[in-house]
Amino acid sequence: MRLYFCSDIHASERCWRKFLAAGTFYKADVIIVGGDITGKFVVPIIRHLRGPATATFQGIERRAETTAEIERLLRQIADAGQYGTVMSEEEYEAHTADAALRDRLFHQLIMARVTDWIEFAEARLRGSGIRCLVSGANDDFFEIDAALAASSVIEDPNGRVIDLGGIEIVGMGYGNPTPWPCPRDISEEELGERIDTAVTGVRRMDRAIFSFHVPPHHSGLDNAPRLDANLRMVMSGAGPEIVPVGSTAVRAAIERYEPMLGLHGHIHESKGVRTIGPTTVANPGSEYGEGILDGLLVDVDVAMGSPKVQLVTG
Amino acid sequence: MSAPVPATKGLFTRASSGLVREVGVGDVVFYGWGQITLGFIIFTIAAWQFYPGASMELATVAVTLGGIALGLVYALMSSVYPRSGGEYVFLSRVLHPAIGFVASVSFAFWETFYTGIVAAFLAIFGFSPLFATLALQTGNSSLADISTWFASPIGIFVTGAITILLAATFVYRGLSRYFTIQRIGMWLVAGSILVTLGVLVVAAAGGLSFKANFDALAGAGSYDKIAAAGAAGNAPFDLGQTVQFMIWPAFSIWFAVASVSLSGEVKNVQRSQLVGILVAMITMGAASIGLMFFSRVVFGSAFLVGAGSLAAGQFPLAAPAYINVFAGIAGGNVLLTILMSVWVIGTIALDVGATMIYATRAMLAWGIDGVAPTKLADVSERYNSPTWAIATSAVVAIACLALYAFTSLVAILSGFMGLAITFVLVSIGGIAFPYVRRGVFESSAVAFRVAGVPVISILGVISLVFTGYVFYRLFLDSAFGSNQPFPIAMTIVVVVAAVAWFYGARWYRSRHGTEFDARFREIPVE
Repeated sequence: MRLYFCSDIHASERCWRKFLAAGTFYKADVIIVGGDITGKFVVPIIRHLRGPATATFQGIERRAETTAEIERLLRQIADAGQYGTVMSEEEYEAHTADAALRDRLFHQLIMARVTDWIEFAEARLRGSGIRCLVSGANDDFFEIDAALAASSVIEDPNGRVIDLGGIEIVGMGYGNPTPWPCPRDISEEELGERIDTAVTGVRRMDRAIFSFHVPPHHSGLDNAPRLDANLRMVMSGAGPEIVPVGSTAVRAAIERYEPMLGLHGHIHESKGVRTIGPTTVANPGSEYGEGILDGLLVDVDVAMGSPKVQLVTG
Repeated sequence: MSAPVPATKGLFTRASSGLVREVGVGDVVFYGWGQITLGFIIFTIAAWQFYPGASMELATVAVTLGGIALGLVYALMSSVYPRSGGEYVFLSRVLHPAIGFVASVSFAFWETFYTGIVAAFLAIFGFSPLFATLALQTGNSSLADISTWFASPIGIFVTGAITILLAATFVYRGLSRYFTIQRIGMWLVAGSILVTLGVLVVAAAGGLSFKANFDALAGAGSYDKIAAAGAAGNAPFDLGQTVQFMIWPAFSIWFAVASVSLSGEVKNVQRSQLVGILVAMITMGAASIGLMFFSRVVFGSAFLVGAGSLAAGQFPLAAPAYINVFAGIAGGNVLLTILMSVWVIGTIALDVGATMIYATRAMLAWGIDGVAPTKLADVSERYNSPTWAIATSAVVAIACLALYAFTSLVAILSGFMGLAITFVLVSIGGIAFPYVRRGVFESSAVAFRVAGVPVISILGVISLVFTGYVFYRLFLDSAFGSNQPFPIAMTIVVVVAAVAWFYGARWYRSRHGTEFDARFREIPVE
């Protein structure tokens, strides 16, 4: 059996389309996104009374004269995992001044894209024989869970066990606290309890996959800069101080249950494949902003276990 | 998840996180300066005698323009594929994985070779001339002995080995620490260049007399005697010789492109690489032209050619006939001599680290893709740096240093042919990219066109003209010396070994059940 796993695509249209094509491309039986499917930026394309529409995208001011140019810019913005929206100067000023308006705009754009993605997945995957697992994680609003649940081709393993045919996968989108008010941040104790509850239904741990968004603490898959109370990077004389920020509860669960495989994401720049005891753990990393889909190919002999894991860049 | 994303004007954000990248545009400029190694101008000017009528300045202008085209191709490609590992990453995706790997191995091997050779240059072109000039100016024989020791094989090896081990230590301790040192070092280098140019300008205006100072040290009439031997330096301008001379400044200026090896670690990669590579080339190109021009004016064209063409031991001073020695003599002051030596010592020392970083990032990318042992992709948990890649690079560099210090098998410029292969392939990659990866190109931020033709392809054509010509000249130009049997054999061996390694790794990985080719293929979007 072959699985393809990626994570943290953060609304990149290009990455989502690649993900849906990954099953056929890599000849995978199951394709999985391990969470953080929604984006973090809205790029207003401002229509001016005179002159071209303008937008600041990737640090550069873009100008669009025609409808076709605006469409092209919207596509580029979506491919990079951001939400482009056309608005007047007055609307732009109103959104700049009002946090509630911006919040409403985010929810509206996020749900519109998730809905589009699910429709696209239905069209692409129905009847293909490829199973598709998608979870929400720390950066994703809870609203997306209902949308995912309504799909006929997408399965959400969050908090439950899914049988893949001799192999079981259990998901966990909740994570240990981050410095941001993320919707699915919970304490390590609560995370440990949720994991214990979720894995209850696993029949054979030596054939189980833990698809937990947050990587295990101090695994080499969780290195990120230390932040201070003002969310600024703590700098030493040598630059940002790098520390492990993964979950101790996830690590403890892996050490206790010894599953066959742990698939993780969350820390984009900490990609790699490691081992904790008999368990292989991996983080594919993420370069969604450039439309590059970092992933893992996992080949498992269902009878023998012993997964072969390789990093791929698609 | 990682660092907070700052709010940007014209962009709405929500509480969230973003990628951590440590390297800023200033660091890319300084890294480019390190790779360009202005100190190489010493042997560039010394070689001028072989090109009668050549304009060093015009050749450098042309090389800088060609370098800008090459640099733009590199910068645009790395903004589409912003991963550390240099041209390996985009050539393996655009042309063919084997071509990308061969180009990368060739570049990484010769960069590692130059980690060793440039470490040797620190003693030869930096410390030995400094102490020789100070000995002349103070009459202190101990300083002369120190200069002699630095120029000896053991002096070259010890100085080089210490430098390589220090560079490896700093690179291992993480790029941010390395770039702190690089930043300080390069500000000192910039100050030293300004002091040197200032002294040369004052001398050119008649405020200092190089001729009088030289004769005071070497004996009356020495200057005129050397100038008489170098009458060819006054030959009328010759465009053909100028074009042929281009391979010398190209050996420095073009290497600013190597910052693409850090793309995965660069903040705002699109802007930083573009600005960083171009600023590095233009500023160092301008500094080269300034040093060349004022050297000719102050020391005299005939004197430079005469001094460069003297047989070993015939130069009337116990010092090498290098422009840094001449600048010290022109200044006529011990403190100025020390200040003016900083840019030579600084650029050469920092190039040791810069070349090592390039090679280690390439090895890291090979390790991640499984073309090389995955150990090379292991990063230190403490410093986040590729431990095994750094160790491998340091060992190979010290072996090359020993080869250079204790044998006559390798010459200074042996490696340019192997490096030029990669420049040619990148130029071809730039031309081909919009046509063979149409979808990626169209949706990228580099999809600019002029009269319907992709800008990156136009730049690739310009770059190919320059890099192709230089590659061609390397086979013909015996003054340059890379067309000797050993360098040619080494160049071929590296390429053949890389091809064999790539297909061997492919076979090995396939036998162990992994789908090797999948690592390089981009998933089609539609």
